[in-house]
This record gives sequence, structure tokens and C-alpha cells, in this order.
Amino acid sequence: MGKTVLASSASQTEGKLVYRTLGRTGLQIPVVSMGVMRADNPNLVRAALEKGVTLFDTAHGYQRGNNERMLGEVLQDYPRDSFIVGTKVGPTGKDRQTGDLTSDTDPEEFERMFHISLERLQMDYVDILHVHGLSSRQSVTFEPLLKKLEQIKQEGKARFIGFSTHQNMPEVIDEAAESGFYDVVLTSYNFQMADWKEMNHALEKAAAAGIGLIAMKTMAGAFFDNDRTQPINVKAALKWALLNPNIHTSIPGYTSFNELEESFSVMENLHLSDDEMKDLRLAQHEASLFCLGCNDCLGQCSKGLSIPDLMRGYMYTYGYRAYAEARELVASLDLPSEPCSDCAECTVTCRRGYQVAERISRVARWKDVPADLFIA
Amino acid sequence: MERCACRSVYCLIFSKMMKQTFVFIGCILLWTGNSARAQETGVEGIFPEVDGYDIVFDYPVYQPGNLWDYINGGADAYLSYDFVDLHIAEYSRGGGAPVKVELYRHATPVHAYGIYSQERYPDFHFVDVGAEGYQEGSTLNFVAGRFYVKIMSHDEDAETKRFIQEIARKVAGNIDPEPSLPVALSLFPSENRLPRTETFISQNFMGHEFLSDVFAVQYEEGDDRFTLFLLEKEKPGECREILEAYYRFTKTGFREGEYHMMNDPYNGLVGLRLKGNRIWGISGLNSEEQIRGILGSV
Repeated sequence: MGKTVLASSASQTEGKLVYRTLGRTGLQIPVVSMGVMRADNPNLVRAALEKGVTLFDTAHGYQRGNNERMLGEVLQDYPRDSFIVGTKVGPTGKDRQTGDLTSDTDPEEFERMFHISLERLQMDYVDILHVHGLSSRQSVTFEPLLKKLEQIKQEGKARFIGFSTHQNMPEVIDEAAESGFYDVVLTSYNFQMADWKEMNHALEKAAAAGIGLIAMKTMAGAFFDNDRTQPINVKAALKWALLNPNIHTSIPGYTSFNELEESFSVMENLHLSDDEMKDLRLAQHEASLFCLGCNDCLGQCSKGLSIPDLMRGYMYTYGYRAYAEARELVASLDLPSEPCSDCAECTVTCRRGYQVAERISRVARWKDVPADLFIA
Repeated sequence: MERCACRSVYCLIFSKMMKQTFVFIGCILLWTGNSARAQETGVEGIFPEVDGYDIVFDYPVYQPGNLWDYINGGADAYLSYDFVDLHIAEYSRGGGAPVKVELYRHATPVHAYGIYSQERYPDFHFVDVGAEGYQEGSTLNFVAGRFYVKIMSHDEDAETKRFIQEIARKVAGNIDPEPSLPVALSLFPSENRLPRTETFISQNFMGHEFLSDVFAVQYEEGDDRFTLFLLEKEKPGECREILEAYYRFTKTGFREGEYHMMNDPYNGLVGLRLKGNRIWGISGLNSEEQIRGILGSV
């Protein structure tokens, strides 16, 4: 069997599977794993197992527990040391604006929910227990929850501790690297982030600190355009994420056997072909609608405008076509009329190169649109 | 329609109005004072007022582009069931934790039922709310019309549970006073049928991209447990195309006829019966004779 060119010094190839080591966990896993989230067919999980998938990612909340139940039922037929299960439990009491955990965050409730997950999975322990959806530095090091996670780990109910994140990732991942507490981080990562230095630096720092890094949302929304007529090259997008040696595996959420085959086929050759490169370069050069949410622009506006919110309003308008949401967001900002009219030059510099003032001028007009227009 | 180069928000509104002419004519009428139309099409009338409780609308209206912000990776499943938007209100009174009411609106009642059925488990405690619903502690979920409704609180006391039931019934009544399950489910035989196992799967049923919009029900006969499923298309020709796709997948030549036995490499023996613009199917049984017998009765 031919060897696939290694994308990382930590990789090894066996047949058509490319393995990497998931950080300090020491787990050797294929770079393509399975996000079980939408799968409801046990035979799809069995097919993935037969192909060599070892890591299966689910969550307490997916399909209100049916996802964990289905996965647990299937895995009963396999030796416990032949697969790796990661599940995610969301902490209560999260501040929706800041992402911080609060005095309403109840570690006992977190543990109770985790025990329900174990019961559904029919397991004494999971390999990876993730805190679901962290988005602020404070939440990463929230002491009451860390104590509970440590207790769960010491009791042997979770071999490794991690968290998932899809907002404010560089800060959150950086904090994880600093804290030394987490074994694994599951993060959004896709080719739209190619120029995002902080993100790639955070991944590098986390990997160097021994954190196992799992990529999700590698398809970046599946389409380039607003009308969903230009699909993203799924294989190229997955390969792009895996070309970063700091990413140890990915969890595409396939729900059909064809999608499983397609995802797995990237391991035949992880390198991007010229055509695939062209597809993704095209994506990078197009004026993207996708605000990274990096918050670098905070405080840069001489008028004190909330630039991240306005860019989000632009994304809602032209990207998601969520007009009611855009109007509501812009209306809540209490903008003056023509907010940029007094400035000869915009003081805000966006890392994506967005023409911020021009975008503000477009979305600011939402504040004059009556809310009633959107009752439909 | 050609796009306007200026891409202003007003042009986008105009563009959408042209695409959804009738809907927006309704909106314009609404804007000019036709409030009755709002009661017919909006969600405002769904959230009931309750004596002694304040209603707080502190959450944005979530749409397909940002549902992930609210329910993380769970959003993908909702999107595959033509999720339209999510409206949230919290009912609170002095002291206790608020009761949150979430209205997930989908494109059709069948899609709302589909996502509901994905999250429902047969062992739950079912209650008489909406077309079907269940209550687990201080969580009560049900489906009614185009809405999948979730009501929950962190308080587990008896009064909170009672209030959740009360508000659930009011919400259900405001959505549809006479809600019903999808008609297709009534076509399934009742003998040996396992209660609360009915589902609607919008995409990739049994992992196959050519099997979409499928109703499926679990059955138990002796030691055998199997799935009976139904696809209904507008024209018989569409059903034939599905059968052809299945034959291609199993790498066998298409055979004419009413009954088709597929040796599916992933799902085992799958029996199908072509009946007009419907395909009935069974998976989970190993006997062709048994499959033919059951399919012959539907």
C-alpha cells in the first residue's frame, strides 16, 4: 500500500488512513473522524467504524439525547478500547452577551447532565468530556467548573477534558494554552480563516502546549454566495483544514454513505490539487461576507461606534439575508443619522480588509426601517 | 431578476419584495395599518398573557444564519428540516427562575413534526398538548402546526410544572386549536406498531441521498423488530427514479415489478413495494417471504 505524504511530523500513514496524535492524550486517530450530530442511522456509524473511524463526537443536547442513545447502542457491539467517544455538556448560567460564566453556573447541574449522557451512552466513562460552546477567556478558567471537571476526571468518568468553541476562538484557545488544564479543544476552523494570524498563532501555541486540536465547521457554510448557487469544494475545504499540522483530526458531520466516502477519500492524498487550490484561492480573494468576530476593531472608531455589531449587521443583511435580525441589531445600537459623515477618513482597520465606513453607511439605514415590515 | 449594483438595504428589501410579492404585499398592508394580518401571520398572538407573570422578549429572533449561536452544533439538524425562525419569550414573576418558551417555526407542519420526532423518545411521559407532546420534569415539548415548541424552567417544583402545562396548552391553542399529526402516519398499519416511534426524515434516510422525505415507524413481531417506511411523490415516475438509484447503489440491474428486494451493503436486506406514487419499504428483517407478506398488506 502506497504511503500518503505526511502533513505533520506527528502523522503516520497506514493504508489510506492518515493518523495524528491528539496532543497530550496520546491517542492516535485518523485525521477524519465523525461528527455524529445529525446521523440517525446506526448503520452509518457502523460503516464509519468499519472504515477505520475511531473518534465519534456527539453532545448531550443533540436530538435531545437520541444521538447519544443511538451511538451508545451501536458501540455496545464493539470492544471499548476500539473507539473513542467525545460528548459535550453545556454549562448553565452563561452570559449571552459576554460568554462569561456567572454565579448562576451550577457545576452540580453540569455533573447531573453528564451522568445522563453516560447513561444514554451506556458507558462508565467517556474518552473526552467537552464543555459545550465556550467563547470568553473567563469561561475557560471558571474555577467552580474546573473543580468539577477535575473531579469527574479523577473519578475516571472522563479520560480527558476539553471544550468546544466557535466564537472568539483565538482568545479562548490562547487561554486554554495558558491554563494548562485542558487536554483537547474542538474549534471552528476553515479556509476562510487563512489570513487570520491570531487564530493560527493560537492553534500553534495550543498544540505546542500539548492540547489536542479537533476542527469542526470546516466547510465554512457550504456555499460561497448568498444565493447558494456556488457550492464550496467540500473535499478541498476539508483538506485545507487538515494541512495545518496543528489540527489533529476533524469531525465532518456526514449523514450519508456517499458523504462518508467523500470525507474519507481526502486521506488518499491530503495535498490540494491545482484545481482545489484555485477553488480556495478564489474563495480567499472574494470579498467575503463572513465577519470573523475577532473584535480587533473594538475601540478603533473615533465616534465610538460598535464596529463588530455593525459588521455583524452587514453579515446578517448581505450574507444571511436575515433582514429582521439586521434591523433589530442596528436599531438597538442607537446610531446617529449618517454616523460616518463627519469623518474625513475612517480610523478603523479591519483585518479582512473590509471597507468599514462603506459597510456602515449601508447598514445604518436599517434604523429607519419600521419593525412592522418584518412581521410575516 | 437583475440585481441593483448599489446593494443598499432598500434595494435588498425591494429585491425580496419582488421575489416574495404576495408575502410583502401583506407586509406593506400591515405597515399601513392592517394589523389584523399581523395576527394571522405573526407569532405575537401565540405568546399568551398570563396573570401575575411578566413576559420578557430578551432574545433576538434566530434565523437559519445564526441559529448556531443559540444551540451550537444542534442547529444543523434543524436546518435540514427547513427551519424558518425561532422566537423566544421568558415568563417570570418575583423570585423563581423564569419559564422560557421557544417557538421553532419550520416551513411546513410536516417539517416541524420531523424535527420534533427526531428529539422525541418513546419512553418519555406524553401529555395531551398540541398534536403530540411530552413532559420531562420542568421541560415540556410539543408540536403544533408549523411550530415545534419547547417550554422549560430550571425550577422543578410542582407549581412550575403546573404552570408549564398551563402555558403549553395556551400556546398550543393559539397556534392551532385542532392540531393533528401528519396524515401519512395514518396509513401505517396499527398491528405490532410500537407507539411513539413514528418519525419523518427529510434527508438521507438510512444513509442514502436518494431517500428523502420519508415517514418511518418501528414494529415488533415476535423476536423481530423492523422499520416500515413510506415515501410519497407527486408522480409514479419519481418513485421509479428512486428505485433505479437504489439498484445502481447496490450495483445490480433494474428489474421491473411491484416488489424489489435490495441487498444493501450497509443496511442488509431492504424490501420495497412500488404502489402508484408511493414506495413502501421494510428494513430489519431477513426473510423475503416475511417482507412480502407485510408489504402486501399496506
